[in-house]
This record gives sequence, structure tokens and C-alpha cells, in this order.
Amino acid sequence: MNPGPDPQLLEQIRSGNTQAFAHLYDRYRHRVFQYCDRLLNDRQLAEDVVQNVFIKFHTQQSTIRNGESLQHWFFTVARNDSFAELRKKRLEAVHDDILWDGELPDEAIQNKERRQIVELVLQQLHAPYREAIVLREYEQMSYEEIASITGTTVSSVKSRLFKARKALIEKLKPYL
Amino acid sequence: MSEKSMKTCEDYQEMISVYHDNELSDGDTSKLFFHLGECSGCRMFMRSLIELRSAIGETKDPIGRKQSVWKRTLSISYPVAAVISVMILVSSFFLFQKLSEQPRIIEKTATEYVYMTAFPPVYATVNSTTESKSN
Repeated sequence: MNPGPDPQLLEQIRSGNTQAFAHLYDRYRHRVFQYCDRLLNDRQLAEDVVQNVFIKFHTQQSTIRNGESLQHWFFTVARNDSFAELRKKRLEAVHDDILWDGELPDEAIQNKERRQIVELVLQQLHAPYREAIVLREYEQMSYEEIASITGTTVSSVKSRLFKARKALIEKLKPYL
Repeated sequence: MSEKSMKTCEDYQEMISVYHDNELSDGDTSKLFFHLGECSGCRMFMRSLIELRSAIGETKDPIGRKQSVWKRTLSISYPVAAVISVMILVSSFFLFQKLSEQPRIIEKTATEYVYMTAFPPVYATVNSTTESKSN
């Protein structure tokens, strides 16, 4: 049976339907985990963040407005929690002029497949740029959705995506 | 064209990035393609961007994607699936029985035999002299 759209699921969850929560978990868990994992570069930490996001959903579901996009809610909460984790690691600074968090040593990419090299280079991209790429390329979100989740403007999303792509092309030139 | 509205290759390359996200307006798209016609550097950037997106595509989680596609295409519960399977099995059995039946004569006139088969009746014209000889 089709579990139905988000607003219907939210309504069922509020009336105590645990099956509806299972459907919602199934719908968002993997996507939110992928997003957090790519933001944090740490699978264990990403698992913790995702778990907390679903706990928050349980405790705060009554505060979610009717008609509010659950995709927006899940990604915004996951983003805030991930950036809180990055702040602890002092990696969160949102400087538009910083594109890379560090240099990738040559040994790290030796004997690696192109797919693995792209993953490694993406991990080096500064968090605000990395998250723009993740939300666009992996989650196929529109500029407006990305702007709303990241708390920026559409023109800033455009600019971040362009700068990130240009930097990635430069860095990955030998492998493209 | 005023100095202020003159676009640089950097501006056009940002437009290429937006174009690949299907977020570029029709007006800007035609301006971009006009520029691409005369700028090899921006054409090169466009090619590199296509390559980059394909390389990023290779890193997408195939298991997660396959699962979600599978869930989207087959979203029926187990009891419903079981009932459908039984119905398919039973109807296949009857169809097989019907197909393996020997044709039998259901009507006979002076010149024609009508055979009953699993498919529409087969009409066979019979030469009465041959028929009487064989009998």
C-alpha cells in the first residue's frame, strides 16, 4: 500500500499511528544520512546526527506547521545539527573566499579509482560549498529549496555552486 | 551595450552552471548560446562541467537509489502480492489445461467440421468423397 504524501503521514503520526512513522523514517533516513555523511565526512557522527534528528521529530512534531514541507524540516534540522558538530571541530567557518578545508596529499589518491578520488576531493571542499553540491547533485533540490534550507539567497546558491564546480574542475582536471 | 551590462567569461561560466541545473531563463539561455558560438574557453568549461557531473554521478550510492526505485515501482503489501501470485498460478494451470486439450468436433454439417479449441473455433471444409473413402 502506498504510504501517502508527507502531510497525510504527519497527520497519521499525530494520531498515534506507528506504522506511519515507520514509513516516514524509511522515506527520509537514507537521504538525511547521505547529506550528513557528506557534510561531516564521518559516518559514525552522521549516524548520531540522524538519530537525533528523528528524536527531535518525535518531540517537536506538534510544532511542525500543517503544510510545512517535511523535506525542508528534516534537512534544516540535520544541517543545523551537522554545523553544530563542525563548530565543535572548528571547521564551520563560512568564508566565501575559502574553498578548501585542506590539501589532499598525493599519496591519498595514488592507485585509487576515479570515483574514490572524486569522493576524497569533495570531502576537502569547504563545508558551505560542499553542502551546495550535495543538495544539488545528490538530492536534486532546486535553488530555492537549497536557499531555504541553508538560510541564504538564490543568488548565493548560484554563486556557491559555480565556485565549487569551478574549483572541482580545476582539482580533478587530470581525471575528467 | 553599456559598460555595466557587458558580461565577462566568468559571468557566462556561472550561467553555464545555472543552465546545467535547468534554472537559467530562456532569455539568458539564448545569450549564453550566442556567446558559446564565439568563445572556445567557455565551450571548454561547458565540456568540463559535463565531465565533472558525470564523475560525481559515479559516486552516487547505487544501492540506495535502486532501493528507492524498487520501492516506488512495487509498493504493494505482502498479502496482496500473495493473492495475486495465487491467482496467476491458478489461471496459468487452467490455461495450460485448455491448451493441451485435443481439438474435438462440436458441429458437423455435410461439408464442414467445426473443431473446438482453446482459441476461436476452427472451421474445416471436408471433401465428402475423401471422407467416405477413409471411413
